Parts: sequence; structure tokens; C-alpha cells
Amino acid sequence: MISVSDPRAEAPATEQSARLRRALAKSPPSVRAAFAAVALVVLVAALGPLLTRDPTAQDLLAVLRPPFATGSAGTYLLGTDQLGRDLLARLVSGMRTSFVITFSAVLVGGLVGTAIGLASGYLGGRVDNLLMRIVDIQLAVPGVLLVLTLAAVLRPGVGTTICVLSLIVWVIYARVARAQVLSLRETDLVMAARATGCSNARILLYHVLPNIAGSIWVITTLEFAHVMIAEAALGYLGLGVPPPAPTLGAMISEGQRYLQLGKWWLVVMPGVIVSLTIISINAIGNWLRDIHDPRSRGRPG
Amino acid sequence: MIRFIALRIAAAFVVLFVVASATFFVLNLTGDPVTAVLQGTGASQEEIAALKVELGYDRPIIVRYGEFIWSVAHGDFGVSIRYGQPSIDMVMERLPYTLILGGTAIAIVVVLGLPIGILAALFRGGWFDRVFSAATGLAQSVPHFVVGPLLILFFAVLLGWLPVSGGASSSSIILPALTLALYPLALVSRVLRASMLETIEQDYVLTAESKGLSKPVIVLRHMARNALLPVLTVIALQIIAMIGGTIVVESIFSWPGLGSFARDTLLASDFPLAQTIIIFVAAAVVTINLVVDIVYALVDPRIRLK
Repeated sequence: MISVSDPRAEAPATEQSARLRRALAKSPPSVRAAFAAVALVVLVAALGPLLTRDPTAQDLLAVLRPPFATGSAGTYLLGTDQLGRDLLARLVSGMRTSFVITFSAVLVGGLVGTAIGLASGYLGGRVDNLLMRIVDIQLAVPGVLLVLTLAAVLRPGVGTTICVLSLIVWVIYARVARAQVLSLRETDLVMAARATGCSNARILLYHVLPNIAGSIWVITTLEFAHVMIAEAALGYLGLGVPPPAPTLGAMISEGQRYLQLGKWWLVVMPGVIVSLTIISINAIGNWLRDIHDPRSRGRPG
Repeated sequence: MIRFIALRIAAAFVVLFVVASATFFVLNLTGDPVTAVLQGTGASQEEIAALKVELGYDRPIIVRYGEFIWSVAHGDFGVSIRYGQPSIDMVMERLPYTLILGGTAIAIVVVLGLPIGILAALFRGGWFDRVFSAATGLAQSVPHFVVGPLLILFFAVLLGWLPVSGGASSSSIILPALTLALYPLALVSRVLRASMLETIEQDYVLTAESKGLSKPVIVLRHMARNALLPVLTVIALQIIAMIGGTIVVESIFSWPGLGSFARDTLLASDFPLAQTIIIFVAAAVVTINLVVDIVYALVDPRIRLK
């Protein structure tokens, strides 16, 4: 109906990215360190197969060797596991799997959840009621139990893990998007767009969505950490991506069996790397939340 | 008010009914559990078929669903395929362990979290506050399956003070309870710190100071008491989060509660038993939410008019 481009639609987005750049320039060193740590881990995980040995190759003459031990294939920087597999190679490969799964699950769950939240908040009435009841019902079962149940029923694999994990993501996005739309729906911004004859889809995509983008980015960061933990927990409980593919959770649960023999590196190495990654992602998420909503500064998550 | 409570209870039953139905279909649609449990155990095809008939798995799913809802409504949760015992008895056997673990964790949160949060607020900006901020940030990011094994490494393997796992001795509970308490401990003390800082600016604190009351009286009776309400909300929500957390934490320490049982049961595809556990957990979550809602409505009349 209206064919002229709407200047208001682009304004919030460019304004936000400018604000983000300014905030980044004066961010504290801890946040910069967190960005650097995440960038490093992602880079190593992406380049993984080029840098390390085969994560499933066994060196049975060098099982359970501590870090810096040498075997038939050279030095094992982080040592070897109970089958003489290179811990560093397994860690990098596990990280890679974890990132692929986490990224996909957050993407799928985020898109679906945001769409449902937008529709629910904007349309209101019966649709809203029904969708929010579904959210309530899902939240009656703790995320871990839900994920575990579905993983036990379905055939294990990367695809299954992604689908199952995206289920715990969508509810969060749906709730946040809905709450934001509810407050935006009555503002002049949406009234004006409606008065000029914009369709509902156009209002939601070009007028509402850019205005809630800030919150969406904040929860995307925090959910990324959340899903990464859930993926590793699933692996730890024995219902993640099946072996011999290394996953972070399975590595820790296998390594735990050798703790009493003093083979600490099998648990400590993957544990420290996972924790550092999560800490960094959370630090970025909290920082994003603070610049997005200054009132929340210093408040716990 | 009675109308509000009645509506909430009715809504809670609807949620439980849908959860029970969804669980039934998810666990039964992808194949029959008898075959899943007995696969690889050396049972012959005839034995599997016989057990299927005995347990009623040869009938159409819709008939079984009707029967399932009917018997659950009458308190009969079916029989475990693996153990051949009523699943409700097995759940009741494990439940006390989870309640003790959760109770201990909550006690740790309250006993440590409240003083730490108050101290961090009083010494805002000092070294204690800075250590507090770093430590709670760490505690909120490190996952259970890292904290647990690290605690085992330190206190059980290196120092030898505490048992590695299991539930045999009374000191077995310390490490799992600490692991479970860590995240809520950090969160609760942070919320209390923030909430205390808000009360510092209040007029009633200024009044108390100008009356010449002693510092402990001001802090405990005038500030902490008013700062406690948001903390109670957080604790209630954290109890729900801890129910999920027990699955991982109990598995780490082989604690014989409902959480590790849920995992073992799902790994073994013993679905009638898994079904019972899921319904129980959902009932617990729904009940806690119900109680929180009702307490809120009692405290704040605006809520029940909505």
C-alpha cells in the first residue's frame, strides 16, 4: 500500500549499532578479555581438524598419560585418555560439536520463539492465551528432564540434540518478545504505522522487531551459554551425541572414572575450558544487558 | 480470594493432565517399551511377546491411554518393566534422598547466603565486595558437572576427607549438597546485596540512624528485614531450578535419589517408571508455583483482581 521506504524503520537499528560501538570503545578490560577468549575458542574450534591429530586415533602404548607426555605420535600437550587418544584433539573436536549444536539450537529456538512471542503479544486474545498456556505447561517440566526424556526416546545424534535443545530455548524468547511487544503495542510508533495502512506483518517486522532487537541480543548471548551447558550436561548424562565422537560432557563423565587413580587432567582440562568459555559468554551477556538497560547495572542475572 | 485459589488449583490440574498425556504419547509413540528394555538381554521373541501381552502393550495406544489416565486418576501409576514392581513404590523409596539433598542445599543457601549478601552490601566497594563479586560471578557460570568432579578431586581424592560418591555414610551428602547450592547461593547473596543497597537510601534508615540506634540493630531490623522480600521470591524460583539440577548433581555423585533414578530409568527405556517420575516432578513444580502465586495474592491484593 505504502511504497515509500520508512525512515523510522531504519533509525533504531543504526542508532543501536552506533551505541554498541561507543560502548565497546569504553568497555572494561574484563569484557574485552571475554571477547578475546570467545574469539580464540571459536577460532580454534573452527580450525580444529587442521591443527590437531585425529580425535579418535588410539595409541594403546600411551594410555592415561599426563600433559606433555610423549608417545608414538609425538608429544601430547594435554595428555591422553584411557584409550590413548589425544586429549587436546578430543577437546577441540568436542568444542566444535558443542558450538555447532549450540549455535543451531539457539538459532532455531530463537527464531521460532521470537515469532511466537511477537504473534502472541501483538494479536493478543485467544491466540495469546493458548500460546502462553503452552509455555506454562512446558515449564512445568524442568528443562533437563524434558531434554533427557526426548533424547532417550529419539535416535541419538547431532540433529536430535539440536532439536531437543531448541525446545528449551524457544520459551525464553517467546516470553521476552511477548512482554516487549505488549508494551510497544500501545505506543505512538505502532499506532502511526497502523494509521498509514501498514499490514500486521510489516508492523511487526519493520517497526516492532528493530525496537526489541536489543533485548533479543542480550538473551541470545545468555541463552548461548545456557544451551552450551545443557548440551554438555546431556553428554555427561550419556544421552548426547553418541561415541566415538568426542563431546565435552562425555569426556568429563568418562574422565571422572579415573579421578581416583589420580588422572586429574581428564576432568580438569575439559572442565576448565568449558567453564572459561561459559564465564566469558556470560560476561559479554551481562555487559550487553547493562548497556542495553542501564537500570539493571550491577543487578544479578 | 477463595475464587482465585480455586481457579488456580483447577488450572494446575489442567497443566498436570496435559503434562501426563504428553508424556504418555512421547514415551509410547516411538515404539513399545517392552522391546526397548529387553533388547540385548537375551530374551527370546516369544518371551518379549508374552510380556507385552501380560503388561497390555499389545493393545492399541488409544485404549492404553484411556486406561493410563483412568488409573493415574486413581493413584495407580503402573508397573516398572525392568523391576516388575509398582512404579509409585520405587519413586517413594527414592524421594526421601532427594528431599534431604534439596533441604540441605537450601539450608546452605540460607545460612551462608544471607550473611554474605549483607556483608557485601555493608562493605560496598571494599575488598570483600570485590572478592564477592568475582566469586559469585564464577559460581554462577561454572556448570554442575565441572564443580562436582572438581570437589570430588579435592575433598575425596586428594584430601581424602569425604566419600567419592554414593549415599552410604552421613558425610556423603556434603559434596552433592554444596554442588547443588553453589548457584543459588551466589544468586541469593547477590539479590540480597542489591536489595540491601536500595534500603540504605530509604528515609526509615536515616530515621533509625538519627535516633541513635546501634549499627547491628539498624542493619538487621531495619534494613535486612525490608530487603528480604525479593530474596524470598528468588529462593522459591531457585527451588524449582534445583529440581532440574538434582538430575545432574545426583548422577555425578551416584546419590540414590529421584534425580539419578530418572536418568537411569530413561537410559534403560523403562518408560512406565519414567512416566511416573516425570508426573511427580511436574506436580512438584506446579505445586510450588501455586503456593508462590497464592502467597503473592495474599500479600498483594492487586494480583488477584487481574
